[in-house]
Amino acid sequence: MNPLKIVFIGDHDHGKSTLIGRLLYDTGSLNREKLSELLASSNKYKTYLNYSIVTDQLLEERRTGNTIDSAHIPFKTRKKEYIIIDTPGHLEFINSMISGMGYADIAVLVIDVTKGVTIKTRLELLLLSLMGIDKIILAVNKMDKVDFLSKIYEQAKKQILGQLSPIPFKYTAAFPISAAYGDNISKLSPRTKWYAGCSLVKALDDLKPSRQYNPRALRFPVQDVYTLGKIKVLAGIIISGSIGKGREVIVFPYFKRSKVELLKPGASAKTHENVGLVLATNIPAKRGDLVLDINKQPVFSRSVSAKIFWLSNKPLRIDKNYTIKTVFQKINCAACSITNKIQPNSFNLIEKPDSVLRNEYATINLKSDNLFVYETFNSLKHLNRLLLINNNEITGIGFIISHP
Amino acid sequence: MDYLDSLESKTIYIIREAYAQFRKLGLLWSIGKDSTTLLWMARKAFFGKIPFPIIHIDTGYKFTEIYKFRQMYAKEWMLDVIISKNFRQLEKGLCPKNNKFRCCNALKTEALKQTLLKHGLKALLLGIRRDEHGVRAKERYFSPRNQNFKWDYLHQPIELWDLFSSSIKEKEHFRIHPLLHWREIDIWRYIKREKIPVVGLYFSRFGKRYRSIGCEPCCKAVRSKADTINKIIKELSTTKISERYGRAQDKEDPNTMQKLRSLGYM
Repeated sequence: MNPLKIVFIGDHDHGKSTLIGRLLYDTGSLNREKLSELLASSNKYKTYLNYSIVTDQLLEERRTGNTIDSAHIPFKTRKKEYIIIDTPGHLEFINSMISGMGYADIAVLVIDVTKGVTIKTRLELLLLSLMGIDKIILAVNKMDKVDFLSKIYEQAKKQILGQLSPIPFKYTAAFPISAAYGDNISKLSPRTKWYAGCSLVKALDDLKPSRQYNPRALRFPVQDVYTLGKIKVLAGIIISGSIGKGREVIVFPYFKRSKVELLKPGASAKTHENVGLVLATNIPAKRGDLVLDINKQPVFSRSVSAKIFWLSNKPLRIDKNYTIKTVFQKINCAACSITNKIQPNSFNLIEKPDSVLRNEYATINLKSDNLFVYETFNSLKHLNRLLLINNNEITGIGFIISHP
Repeated sequence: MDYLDSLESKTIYIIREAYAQFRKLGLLWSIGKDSTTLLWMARKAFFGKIPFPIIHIDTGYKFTEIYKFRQMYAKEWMLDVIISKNFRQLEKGLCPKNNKFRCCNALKTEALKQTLLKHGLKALLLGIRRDEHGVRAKERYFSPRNQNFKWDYLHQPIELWDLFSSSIKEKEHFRIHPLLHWREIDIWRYIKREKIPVVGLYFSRFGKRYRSIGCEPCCKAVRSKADTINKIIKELSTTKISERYGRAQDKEDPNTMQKLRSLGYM
């Protein structure tokens, strides 16, 4: 029932949109209008259909043949339901790329066999690892341009994996494909008899979903406070653990204990459920406060270290004020030092730089007059994700790792 | 938590987030299946009574069933309904006959502009979904519009990890789309599970039914024998016809939808 969300990444012109169009066409997922539009199109050499028009929807995308913003496209095979997330191929649209990636379960990396790894490929993998998407399928595309030779494929694969090795990711499998001609996508190609694996669609169908952790520590950020008749109801979503009527809790930032007197809509609720709760004692709770487990608490600290990817044209500077937003809070802070950074072009590690520039990945130390709230339990680390905001613009994304 | 629960959970979270960030909020109710489903979840989010107005854009060309449905449920669900109508253009006799693009733009988008100004609303909840149309597939949950209602789809803000960070500039408003991640079939499964009332136009009569409803002159029924929710769900799992196939405004030229939306259409 739950569709698998696959993000397609890769540099522009390496064939992402063509591969998606082909997948939709091969699995019979195109509706009548799309199909007739596709059949009426063909590439300039008239040797195959122009599959990328299936995904390029905006006038500007069709005019230039470049994907500009991420799109979510549902499709299904005989075995499974999917949502494809198509992302732009140009670095200038990195904001749209990130917005698409963030929702994915797994990634398909499309690389043109004749071009190999580019700067953008590396940046995308960096971003994926930052987002915790570590299952990656490698689609080595345009095999038709190298006559489907196994030697060239093996060389390209080795080179790609070598160049990507500094980035922590779990690569699951590689496929020699031609998106334009349909080789090894929904069925095995007679032109790659040397290839011993299965088709891309079969591999996707056979993927086992990742194990879901069910952390037990209660975390309930107060999203809003509603007054219903005479009672004050704290509304929000339980991001971890469960709540029942009569349960004892601690409320941050007051560090006061209280009991859950009433719960809506039912008498108990689990992770991801939206609830309204009424506390037994009169705590002046407001949006941004936290209702927490008594025993298993997060860490509270006025300084933290974080890994961040910088997105703004204005560099990150030491001692400049930023707003940090996490699932727990939104507070003002400043970077007090930069431990190191990786530059996108060379992948060199630079120790103690004095600023972080656009598309660089850095470890920084933040301080604030308020308390940062973050998790040390492995199963809750996803709650440490953060946005860095300046003048209402998201300038950086990342996660809190520890105390400095 | 099953799949429908997880879709619902995210939607309720977004509805509450919208209300927390913009107290001056409204919900756009076309009386179709999606916005009625959205309304249903908004009632859940606020434990029965929605604390902001419900806007119905009335072009004057809606189906009779729609008006009846509105009357009945506005009362039953204690809704504060605002009827949004572009009287000036209607008096001038504007109708979809000659130019659907102009008609949609004036009777829907312009009417909505007038209503937002009059009531000082800063944000709107809408029931659009990604899988309805290729251009809607590119939407964000929190989508800013400038004072002329323009949607700057080439420079959309980053949206990540459901950490919705919206900040409103002078004279802007936000479109919030809590159903973005739902598919057509999910909506019907949810309607079935929750027993949500929907307009009868969706069910087959004389071998035809509507899959998407709006104004009567611009909606075409599709051939279908599905006269129950179960049959609709079954039909949707095999059909090759798109949901908005019967919507004339999408057809005038291939990019009408994009042009309409960039000017502030839903």
